Amino acid sequence: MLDKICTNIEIRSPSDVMRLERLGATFPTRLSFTRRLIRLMHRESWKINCKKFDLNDDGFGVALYEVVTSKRIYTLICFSHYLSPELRTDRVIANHWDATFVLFDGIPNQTDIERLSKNVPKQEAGRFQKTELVISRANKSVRLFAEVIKSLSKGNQPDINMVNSVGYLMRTTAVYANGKFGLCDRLHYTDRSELSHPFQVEMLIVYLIRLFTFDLVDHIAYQIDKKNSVNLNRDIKRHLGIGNATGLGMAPFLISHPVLIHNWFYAREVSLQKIRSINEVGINKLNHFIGVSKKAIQHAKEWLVSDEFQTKRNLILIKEMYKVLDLAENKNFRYKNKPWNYLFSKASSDFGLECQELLLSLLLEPYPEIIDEISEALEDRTEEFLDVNMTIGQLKEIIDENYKWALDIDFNDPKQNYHFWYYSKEKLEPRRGIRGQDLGSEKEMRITIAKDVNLLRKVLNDVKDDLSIANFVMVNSNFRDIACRVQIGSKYHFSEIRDNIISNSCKPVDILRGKLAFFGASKFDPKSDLWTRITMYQGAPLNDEILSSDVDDWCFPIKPQ
Amino acid sequence: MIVSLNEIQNLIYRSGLAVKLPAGVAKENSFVAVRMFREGFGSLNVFVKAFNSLRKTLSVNFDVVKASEGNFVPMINKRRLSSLLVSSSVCDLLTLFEENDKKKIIVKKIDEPLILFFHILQLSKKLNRDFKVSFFLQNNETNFLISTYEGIYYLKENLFEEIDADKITIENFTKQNLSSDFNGLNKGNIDFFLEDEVWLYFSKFSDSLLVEDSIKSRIHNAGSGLNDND
Repeated sequence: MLDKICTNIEIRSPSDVMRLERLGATFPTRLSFTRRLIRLMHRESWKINCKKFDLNDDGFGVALYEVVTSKRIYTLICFSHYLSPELRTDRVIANHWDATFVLFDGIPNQTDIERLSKNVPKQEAGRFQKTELVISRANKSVRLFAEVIKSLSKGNQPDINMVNSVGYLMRTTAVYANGKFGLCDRLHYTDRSELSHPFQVEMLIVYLIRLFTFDLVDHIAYQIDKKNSVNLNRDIKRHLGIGNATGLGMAPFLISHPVLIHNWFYAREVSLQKIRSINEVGINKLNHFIGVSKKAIQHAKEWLVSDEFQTKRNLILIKEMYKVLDLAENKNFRYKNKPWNYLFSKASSDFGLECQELLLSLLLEPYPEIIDEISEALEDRTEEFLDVNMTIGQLKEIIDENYKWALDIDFNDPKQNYHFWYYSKEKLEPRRGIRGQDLGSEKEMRITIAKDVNLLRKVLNDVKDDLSIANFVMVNSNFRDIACRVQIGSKYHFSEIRDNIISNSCKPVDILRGKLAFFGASKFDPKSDLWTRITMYQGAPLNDEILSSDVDDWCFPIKPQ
Repeated sequence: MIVSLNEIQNLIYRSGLAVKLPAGVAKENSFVAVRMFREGFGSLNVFVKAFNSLRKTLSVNFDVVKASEGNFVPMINKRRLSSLLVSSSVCDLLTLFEENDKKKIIVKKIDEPLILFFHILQLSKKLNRDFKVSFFLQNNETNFLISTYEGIYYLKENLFEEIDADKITIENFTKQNLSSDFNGLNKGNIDFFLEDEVWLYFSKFSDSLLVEDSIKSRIHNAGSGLNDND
């Protein structure tokens, strides 16, 4: 865990930060995992090259991309398939995809590739070994892929507005790692500096898939017209990321990994606290902030979504960000005491959540010397166990202090006990049902923290304060798990989403945005309360740009001119 | 089949929930299953036996009154003590011991002693403390296993195959007292092999927690409609 720092600016309270509404306004920051990975690639001079591109004229076949890090080699194996239109669905329920991928630990031999060619296309139905780190699959964007090829094959670049409105050539629908389907367990690579950071192996495969999509369109366009076709322009490539459709599958993760989640949010809040504590702002730092803020405003203008609610929020965000910019550009701004704190306090009191959270992200940008070190300490290396020496009196105190938000919920109110979360038999993925209407509530997932704490506290009313937890759980073993959870919450204050995730007002898409922003996702495009489209790596450097000096200057990408 | 540790953990955790183990107890048993594999015990057969015993009520929970005095016995006479249910509580009481405590915990008629032993091994790591586990066998022979932060020490190599003790005692131990007759157990291969029938046995429990999809749930419970091509 990060060391606490002494400063007169207080860290934001978990009661404010860990609310669903605020999670649903999160933006990526310098701490985000994609940003950190690109910085690592640059720092260690990684080399990423296509080693094999055995695709037919239509773009179907096998391609290999080799990643040479300072210590090891990894290989992306891509299987590009024909997908008939009736089988095309981008949902997680699909069984066939345009392309399937595996990230191999080392250099695969022919036997490996043959074995994987039989398993990777099956995804969840395949079996894998510890040499395989991640599997994924992606579909071509129906809106953009064919249009780009059509333009390139005729010697033209695609319409940039169309490119911007979609943002990607392919969209992944799942990325699996950490032992799923026999894949390598995370614990086998946590001692590797390049993969120890959270979700780095998943972020790496997504980055490599993005490179494949560029080579794929160039290849198909060339095969259509070898004489007149052109490659996709470098600036347009940079403006294209990888799409992703994320639904409920990701939501319970934030609840079932409390220490990890604490580390992420605590790191972000400490970062903000440090920046707000800066007494004087130099002109270069101010100019950096103003520059990136202008870019962010333009980015928000180019952030096109069909969701009416998000569209309204974006319009308000742009309006408020102009006001933030006015404040920062005022000639007296730099001479205020703790200017960044002034700015953030003003935004917190006068502006909406989207603006506050975007401002947080922008404030971290000019300070790599402070933030990037913090971004290196986000993994969870602890093992938390129930402290059975604690007394019931102490446990009661912790609950009353840290879980008031849970105790205030009346679970006898049907609205507060409305949903249940379960695993679907078909896809082994989390789903959400309505209690009393949908089947399966008796198989509810064990993620109802607020409800369980509520019940525990009621039971503890009748238990003597001096009893040890060991003796309590000996008789009440059903509370063993939640008692441990409460203890974790007392040590890791940002470990809980402080809202009721089974109420009728809970929007899982808020949980998703909170997590995806830490990944580095942008252009959130909510399609319902349950799922969202996003773009990853939009604006990120290409593989042959990793060594350039401005490698980290890709946040809030805007359309190339 | 080759499996990952994550799969083993999920399989035992979800199977535990399926047979109504409390969530915390199911979770700790799943960590123990992983620990067994990491220590080279490439089998979950003891868990199969323990699950069978519990489901058929051949094994039951412990007598709480006696347990609070450090004496774990089955709550019903002529039944075995469920290792799945008792092990966490045994470890809780061991945690309450001071390091120089001379007290012993007694566990009688446990169904699968090895499961309890691996719980204690987990505890050794957690507390950075050593414990001596004595197994009193039916032929009046006694064997010992030493559980330490670093791993397992044993006197008799094939002990693990024949642990079937009517009585087990657990007490504090200082590794400095370890005689040269004891050997450290080597950790096994990094490949984790699970017999197909064991995988299927637990998958059946684990899958019983899954909810059948319906047309309605396919459309509404995961996100939007059936097709969202873009």
